[in-house]
Amino acid sequence: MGRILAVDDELDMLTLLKMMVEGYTDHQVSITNNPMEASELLDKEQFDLVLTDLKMPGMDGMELLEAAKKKDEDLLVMVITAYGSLESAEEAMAKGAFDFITKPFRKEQILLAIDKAMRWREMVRQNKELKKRLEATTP
Amino acid sequence: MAEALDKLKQWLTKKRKPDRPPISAGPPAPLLERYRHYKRLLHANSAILAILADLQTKRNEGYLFDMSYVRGAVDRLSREVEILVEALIALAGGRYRGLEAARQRITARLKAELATPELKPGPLTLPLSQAVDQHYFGGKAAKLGELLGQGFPVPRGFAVSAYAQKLFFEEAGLEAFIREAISKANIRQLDSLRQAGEAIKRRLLASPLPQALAEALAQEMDRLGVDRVSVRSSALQEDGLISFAGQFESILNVPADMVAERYKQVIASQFTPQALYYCHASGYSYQELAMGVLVMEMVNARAAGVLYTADPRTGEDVVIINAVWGLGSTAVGGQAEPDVYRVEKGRLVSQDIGAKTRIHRLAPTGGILEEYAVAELAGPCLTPEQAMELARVAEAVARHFGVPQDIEWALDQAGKLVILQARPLRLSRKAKAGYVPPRLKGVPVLLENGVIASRGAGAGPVHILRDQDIQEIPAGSVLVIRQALPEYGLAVGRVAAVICEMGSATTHLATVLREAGVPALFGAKDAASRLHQGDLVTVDAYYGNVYAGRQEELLVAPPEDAILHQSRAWRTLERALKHITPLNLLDPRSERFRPEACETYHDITRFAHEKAMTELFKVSRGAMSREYARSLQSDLPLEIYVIDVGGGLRPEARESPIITPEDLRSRPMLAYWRGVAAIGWKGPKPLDLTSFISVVMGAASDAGAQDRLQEDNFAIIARDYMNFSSRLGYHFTTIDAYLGAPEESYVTLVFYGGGADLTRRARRVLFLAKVLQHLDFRVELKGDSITARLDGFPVHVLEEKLEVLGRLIMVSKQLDVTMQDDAMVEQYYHEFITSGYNLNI
Repeated sequence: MGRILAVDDELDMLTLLKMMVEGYTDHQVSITNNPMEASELLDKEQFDLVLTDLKMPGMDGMELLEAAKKKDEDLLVMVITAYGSLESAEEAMAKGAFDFITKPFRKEQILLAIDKAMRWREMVRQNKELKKRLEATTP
Repeated sequence: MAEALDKLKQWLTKKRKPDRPPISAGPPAPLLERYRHYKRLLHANSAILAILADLQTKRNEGYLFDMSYVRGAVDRLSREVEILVEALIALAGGRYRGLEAARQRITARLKAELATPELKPGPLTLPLSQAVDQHYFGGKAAKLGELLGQGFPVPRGFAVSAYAQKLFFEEAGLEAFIREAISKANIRQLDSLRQAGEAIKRRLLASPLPQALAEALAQEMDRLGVDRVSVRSSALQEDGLISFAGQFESILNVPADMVAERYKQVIASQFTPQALYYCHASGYSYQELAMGVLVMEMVNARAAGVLYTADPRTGEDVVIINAVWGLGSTAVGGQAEPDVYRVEKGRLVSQDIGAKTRIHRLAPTGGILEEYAVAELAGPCLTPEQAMELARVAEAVARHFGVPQDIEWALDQAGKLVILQARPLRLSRKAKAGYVPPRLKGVPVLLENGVIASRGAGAGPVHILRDQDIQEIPAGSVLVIRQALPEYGLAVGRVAAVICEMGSATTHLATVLREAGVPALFGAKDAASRLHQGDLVTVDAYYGNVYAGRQEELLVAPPEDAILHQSRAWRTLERALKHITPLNLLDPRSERFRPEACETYHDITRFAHEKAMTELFKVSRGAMSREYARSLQSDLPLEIYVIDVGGGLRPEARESPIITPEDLRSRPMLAYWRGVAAIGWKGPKPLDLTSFISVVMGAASDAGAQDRLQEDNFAIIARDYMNFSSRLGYHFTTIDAYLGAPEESYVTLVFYGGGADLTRRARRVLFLAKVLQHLDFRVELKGDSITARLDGFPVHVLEEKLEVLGRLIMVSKQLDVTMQDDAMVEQYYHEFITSGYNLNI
């Protein structure tokens, strides 16, 4: 089970994302329509994955991505990009996004993308754990 | 006699000079206008069909989308339909105004489906049992009101409508204040939004309620006759902003004289930073937030809690009860670990007693007292009998609403059970991440790489449609067709799947098939020759293949997606599509093919497109002035006047009164001309005396023939269009061709008249009809006239057919007078199609 923070200025989309992910997976989704609040939530709580729209008023997803990476380098960020804006997806990947998904997307696409991210997260965690153990045992 | 014959022959074949050179370089303005209207109409037509396909895909194929997508797409669609109708009326010189009326009717219905329900004046308060309209009182109050009416144990109370809030905001001048506070807030700063929210709350709490509302509250409280009540929010919408912004305030144990104040406090709780950000960003009015408020007699609970009438993780049929001592707020807020009881089939199967370290009680002065580690907190809150009784009532509530419920309940000091809230329980479907259709392996593939026109799978015996007889299609068959004609929509109720050799996902037929949920593959090349009549096949319109036999694995229906289908956006789209996609106007020959019968945007589009072709066809019929035409000179003794409405000629030729075939740039005209030139001019076949008399008699008996013989050959051309009216020998032909996008392209031919007697003309017509049918035209014969249409083919195919048409018209120009008996129809037909489209006459 993982914790996901979803950020999108469209409330219907957010509600649907939450219902969808919580309905079909074991992950828990916190939502906010305000990227400023998202940034605040990241200070207070530990998340495994941030799912953010790129185009939002006030602070866009790119800024949020940068802010999130500054707070926690290992935090996985998946950006949601509009159809036909591959450049912004590339920019996000260059800035450290784990993955991107293009709107409009189907249920299966988002669930598979989340699954992939969570498995990656788990692998990184195990990897760190094993390294630690290895360091502890080697003289 | 011989002299007369020579004169007549001369007159019939003479090459006439243009009366005068064109005096205007451009085409006549009205003609150009009409052509532009046509192009505009075509543009709108393709845009509409593309949006229709997109909307259907979003609904049917598991996409996540929001209300702004639905609104945006429907807005774009409405604009295109408006352009389409306007263009048709302009093209038809003001006719078809009935279509505009139909458009307005449908647009109004759509608007109503998409609108946020407007709060019309209504009652400010109503007793709970009457407050069943959730658009006024919100879901919470409406559901309890409904249960009360059904005799379920619900505390007495009343509901304040959302309209009351609206009235309050209007009368107290809060609207302007809120709007300004929102627009002044800095959305980049959460604190700024918080401050704006606080300012709104302060202002709201300081504003007096409208007198009518204050009086209504007082009256309801008098009627209720209790000292203490609970005041809770009752939101109008289940999802969207409300569910997102989370818990609005619920205030318990309110003394009677404080109800008005607490009402304001609950209303004020909606101005959270999230809500303000939303209003600021989306431009939506905070009026979307208007809420009802529920006031109920305060239950002095001995025990209370929450229960589910099904296991939310598995959907299993079981009642799970959470219970704490005192008020239920410790269970909801998580301050106490509750008892958990499981009741299955009326029997208590397990109970886990929680360490309930705290209890919430009613405070004597109002509000709640929290007490710790009281002795009475040990032991179960419910006896087995009480748990089973609770389960029984809860199950009855779930049966009433038809779905599993999430219920807040309480036991009063006398041990009487009451329901405080009931709402649908969200069941999760873990580990079932959607339906991915299987990719079949080791199964004979008969066809592949089809275009998915309507997603799904279906199986049945192949029925290849050959004679266009839709009524004869056997039920349950897999229909195989060459072209995606809208008329085939009449078969949707009977077929298991459709395979079409041509066409794309944005044809009328594809839209109809998606609407009806009939799986369909389009663009399946050579389907009619590679599949055999009667063979059992499975159409895989997930991956674009056709397999031999019945592939059960693929035919399993994918599960409905309950979560997606619960969303407001999905439900709204579903409702809106009822006014958009169904096609009632399937058959242009039908009585119902008229503007008044249009019930959807799709009907309007189909009607307008069909009529536009007819209207454009008529362009040559008006008095064509040579004023704007230039003369096309070639080796052939044909006089052709050409009007270019855009891109039909090479730029260098645009100013010249005389042009040559090399100047032509019109795609359909070039194709047609290739055919005409290939046959060339052999001069009319010499007439024998009988034939001559036949010509003279025929012409004399036809009053219009003399006039028509005076007509010129006129070609109205554009880069992608040609309307060619010709007099060749004794008959009249108009060929109308548009070669643009594949879905819009067509060739139409109308052929009538002639100099010979009716029998001979009829023979020639039969010959033409046979050839046209051979060329895949749909042909209608009426006496000695022919109407033929070809569409649904790729443009390069239409070009080839136009070239053959050029040959056909040239060879048949004199055929009527030489067709002395019926056998010649077959003879000429055979010769024409076997000799590379030529006749040796």
